[in-house]
Amino acid sequence: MSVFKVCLRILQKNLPSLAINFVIFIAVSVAMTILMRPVETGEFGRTRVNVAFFADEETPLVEGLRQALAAQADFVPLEDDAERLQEALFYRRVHYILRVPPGFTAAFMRGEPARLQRTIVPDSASAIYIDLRLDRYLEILRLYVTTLPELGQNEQVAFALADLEKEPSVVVAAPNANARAGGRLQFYFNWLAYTLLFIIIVGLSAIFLAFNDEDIKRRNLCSPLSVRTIGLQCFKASGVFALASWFVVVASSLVFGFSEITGTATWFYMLNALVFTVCVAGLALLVGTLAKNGEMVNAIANVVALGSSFLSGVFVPQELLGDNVLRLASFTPTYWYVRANAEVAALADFGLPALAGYFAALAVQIGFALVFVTVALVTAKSKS
Amino acid sequence: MFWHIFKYRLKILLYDKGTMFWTLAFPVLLATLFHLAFAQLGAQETFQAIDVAVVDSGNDAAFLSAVESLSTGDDRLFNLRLTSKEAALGLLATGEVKGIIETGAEMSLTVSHSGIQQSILKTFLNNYTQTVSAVSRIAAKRPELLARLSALAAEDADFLVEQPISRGAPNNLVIPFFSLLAMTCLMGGFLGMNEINAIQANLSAQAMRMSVTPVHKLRTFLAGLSAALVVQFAKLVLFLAFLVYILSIDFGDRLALVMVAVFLCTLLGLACGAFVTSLVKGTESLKTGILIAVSVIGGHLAGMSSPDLKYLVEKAVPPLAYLNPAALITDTFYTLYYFDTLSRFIQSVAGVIAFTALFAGATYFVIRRQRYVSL
Repeated sequence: MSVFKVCLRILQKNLPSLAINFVIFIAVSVAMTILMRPVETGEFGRTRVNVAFFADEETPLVEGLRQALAAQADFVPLEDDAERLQEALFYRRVHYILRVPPGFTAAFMRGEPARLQRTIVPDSASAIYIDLRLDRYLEILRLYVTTLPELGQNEQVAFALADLEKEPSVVVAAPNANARAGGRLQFYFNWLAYTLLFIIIVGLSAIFLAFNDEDIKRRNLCSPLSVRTIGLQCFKASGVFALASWFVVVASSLVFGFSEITGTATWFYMLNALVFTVCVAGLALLVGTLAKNGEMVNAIANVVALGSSFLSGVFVPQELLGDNVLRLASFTPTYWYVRANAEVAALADFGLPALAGYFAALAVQIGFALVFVTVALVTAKSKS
Repeated sequence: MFWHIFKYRLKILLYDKGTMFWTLAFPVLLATLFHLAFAQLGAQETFQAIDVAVVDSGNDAAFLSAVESLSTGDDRLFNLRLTSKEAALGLLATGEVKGIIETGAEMSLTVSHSGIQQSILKTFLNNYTQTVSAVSRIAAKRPELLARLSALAAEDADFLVEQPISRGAPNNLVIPFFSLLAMTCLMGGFLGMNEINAIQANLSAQAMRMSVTPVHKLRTFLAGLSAALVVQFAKLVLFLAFLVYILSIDFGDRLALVMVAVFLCTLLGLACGAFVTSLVKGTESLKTGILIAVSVIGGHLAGMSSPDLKYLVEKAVPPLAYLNPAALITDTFYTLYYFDTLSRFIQSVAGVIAFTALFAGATYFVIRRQRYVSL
């Protein structure tokens, strides 16, 4: 087992750089746990938009405006300073800045053209949403002002606000599959693809690089161990490392997504991650055979891990990627890994016919693994 | 002698494939990936006509015409489909429509989940019911107005005026690209590191040879640094051109100032690398590690992975934002792009210059007048 032990020592030497990646993995998982929104419940929740509201006058009309908006808006207290407002809009602390200019109420009550000033993210849906509400309040109020001028402003505003309370009912029908997808566990399992890719490629390539070194190779050829035994022990060590990496990232994902682990889907996520690990190990073998030095391995690992993760929907959900991007991504195993996770997430029953898509995605990954290993072996053979 | 050393340092830097990869090919690759991945992310915020199914009970022509009028033209609110209830539910289940409006005495909205588009649908429906409520209240008080009321209610007044407050559009998806450029500037630290390695006799065999030449050390160093500056600035200009002309990232319309900023940030990157290499005692991999941490982790904290993170850091841990060179560089481009006035830009540039002076000054005091007992 001397070769096996040497392999483990090589891995041990590379542990610091691998550990950094694992720390990043944990850090992002923690950040996502904090940032992620809770899963939707069956009730209709009206979207609320962050609004910065500034009034240069205080009248019943303005107070009514505030109340009318409160149903759809969360008012964010901000200092009335141009640069701060600009910044808040840029980083979306507020989506809508509304200002009531002085003299607005008087002009409005006289029926003269009166305008509120708004600053928005151009063409955004949230702006239209707030506009609709604003317009309705002012239009209904204007109706009262023109037709019932004998009423005081207070009463007109009260009537308008009472009208704005009237709302037809909203039914939430059985949520469809797309809405149900996107649970926590699915996110963590998608995200571990990046870490696995990086850790396994860098880790295993280090072993293959060391044993592919010309001098080491010559030295090993005159050792009492056969080439076959050396190769097998290398593979054994690689297998142990790959499985250990799988275990560590999957276990952390399960810890982070613990609220969902009782579902049947968990087992399928784990199996998918295992198949992906095998596939990545094959890729690492290929990289180790092709690369000339550690620096090159690092470059390849970064390009492959970042590239395929970006294109395949690890960082940004697949639904938000263009068709052409996804078509390109389908030439990487990462795409099929993410897709298998999506198939599982969308399932309500886990009968065999329903799982066809999932198993097809697994099969593609195994196909990739076979291709990687074959190419690596052929390359190694031709090199020697 | 200056030009002689300059020429050879230039050649060495140009042939250094590793540094070329990390300071040019890698940022180009990352920018391309950002571009592909974020392309639809911005569109998500933009309003798109909402697909809606209307199940018409046949007795609300006014409502139907209102919906229809909002479903035509380029800036329409809805993509309308008139169907039966069963067909509409099918469309909702497959996600082809966002909601189903049923007309009748009691109007209702059916959706599959909450969201901004669904909320807009609800508000639109509310508006209709609310106007009806107002009209009937007025009609009860002043029946003689009934004939005029529908015309009055349909009158379209404009109560809002746009007041843009910034020079650039508030498109925060430029931040990852700005911080990527910042990271690339700081990756230039590797060139600064190479220059120190080439003159400090305890760091490389080449430097040992250089230190016995009859050339003043400062002159050797300045020649090497000038070569590094030329190469790194050229790479950054290429990268900037790639961002602006190929990926169409908006850097605002003050391109000359952007170039000045890029030049100053190139200096900062080189100085940062020289500073770390000369000050940190340790192996080369330790120094490389520190440089990568400063550029990559700094880049992330400056918003490379999410603009929100940059804002959070600025508000929650302000010192971390001031002391992070990547955040400072990102701010230089951001203030130039977004704000009308140059005051914030000048602040950021002053920060960049201060950092550069600090790094360069410290490096100078470390590397000057060093003598070696033996080599």
